[in-house]
Amino acid sequence: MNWEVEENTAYVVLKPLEGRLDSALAPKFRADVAELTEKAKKTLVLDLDNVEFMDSSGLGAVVGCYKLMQSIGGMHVCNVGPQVKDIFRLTHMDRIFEVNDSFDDCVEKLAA
Amino acid sequence: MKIRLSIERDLEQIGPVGECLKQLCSLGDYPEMARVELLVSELLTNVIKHSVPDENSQHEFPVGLTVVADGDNLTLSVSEIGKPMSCDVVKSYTDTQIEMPASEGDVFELPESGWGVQLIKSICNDISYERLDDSNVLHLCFDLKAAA
Repeated sequence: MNWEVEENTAYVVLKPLEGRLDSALAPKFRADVAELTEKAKKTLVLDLDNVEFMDSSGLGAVVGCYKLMQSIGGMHVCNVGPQVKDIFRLTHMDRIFEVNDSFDDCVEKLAA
Repeated sequence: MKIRLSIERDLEQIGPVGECLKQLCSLGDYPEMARVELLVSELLTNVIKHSVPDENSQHEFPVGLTVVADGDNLTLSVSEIGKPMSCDVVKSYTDTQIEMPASEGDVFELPESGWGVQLIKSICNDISYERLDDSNVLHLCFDLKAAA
């Protein structure tokens, strides 16, 4: 799958360039995040700006990434659209993930 | 409104089906279809990944999806030819409850699968299963207004 990757001294930003995160892409998503963060060993900022639709397979992959990042540098999520926000709320994952409305909000929190 | 689709048993087909359904339903003046797309995705994923095709069958039968909208009520029915669903699978649609971790340190206990039935249960008003001839049919009903 296609990603936009940005990195600085404090964190790595991974932005999937796909509109759907579902059962067809979730395994690849999980594997790519593991590979990309393994090299960086920093806090992960997962920018979901392009993801218009996520199902439970996508959610499971994000949960997997969150668990993986606990021992590396943590994970923050930003630019969450209405459908993804809904699925986080329905599963109460909005209480678990650090979800930010915008990338700037996320960076501000990381700098604090 | 009634829509009937026949879908190949291929996870790659789910995205286009969801998109197509969303477009069709927007023509019918239904305001919020994101949850319909989510339910369709969950149902089709479960059927394609977990159903047990009948080995006596000579053909790879497609999955049938019927969407019926009547006022504010919407019913999704997914049918597939295969061995009967086990009682445990049927019960999982109504009984699944994923426990959230009590503290931050327990997040490693969060499951990475099983969220689909939890989502279906949290969105739908009614879930039922029936065996029709050699097909499994799962019916999900929900209120379109509640989803909006």
